[in-house]
Amino acid sequence: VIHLYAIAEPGPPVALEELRHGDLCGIFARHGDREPTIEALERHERVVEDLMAVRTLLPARFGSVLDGEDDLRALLDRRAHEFAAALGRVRGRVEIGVRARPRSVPDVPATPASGRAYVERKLARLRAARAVQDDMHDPLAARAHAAVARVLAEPEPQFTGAYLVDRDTVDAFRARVEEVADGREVVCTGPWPPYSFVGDGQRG
Amino acid sequence: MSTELLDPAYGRDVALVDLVDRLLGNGVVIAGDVTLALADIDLVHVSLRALVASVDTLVNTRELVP
Repeated sequence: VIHLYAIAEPGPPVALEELRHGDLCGIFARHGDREPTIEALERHERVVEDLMAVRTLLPARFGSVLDGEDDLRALLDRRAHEFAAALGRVRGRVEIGVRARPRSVPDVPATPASGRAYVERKLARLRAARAVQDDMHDPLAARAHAAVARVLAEPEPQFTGAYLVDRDTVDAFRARVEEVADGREVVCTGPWPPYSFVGDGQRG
Repeated sequence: MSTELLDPAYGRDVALVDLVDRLLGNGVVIAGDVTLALADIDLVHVSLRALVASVDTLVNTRELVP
């Protein structure tokens, strides 16, 4: 089997093997982790980030295993248009992650006594997270080429967004995140490979 | 430019959860991809939350803001 790391545009040689089909390359290794431990995820991510430094790419989901190079060639052939379009969208760009928490969270008991109390607690937490999204997402999306956002009620209410930005505007984007956070607790992560912007089938 | 983190563990926590989100929940999906169903990812998050409290050396590769 082969472990797929990325679909990429042709470019300088990389440390892994690659198979070129038309204007697309599948970058892969013959050995890799299948169990999603934290160490395995970090190993995988370091490999993809090294690739991202020299190539325009779409990162594959962790654990993407193919039977062999024939299957990889078939994949590149079957989804050539989708991959080419997505590569065009991410060229020269990186993904920045943003998470922010509400300034305060509704004080509702963590172990509600009834189904109704459970639902009310969850709704209150979602509303708190949604309010953060309402304030932050649009102004950040306006500075990005693409954006996805969602809110989470658990394990703690939070807004989380992913933004596709030009590689050379990352610092300015981060400064903007600080502004729109307006004193809320916020964390940026990245620059990431464009995991959230690979095209069809992406979440969010 | 600084936002004070009320909870220093938050940034570390976020970096790890972001890593899991992206590698397991996003990225190009191929037909042979069988590692982890989307529905399992929330469970992974919950166990990570518990794990992260005791592991603080894992996410140094990820640059954080502030």
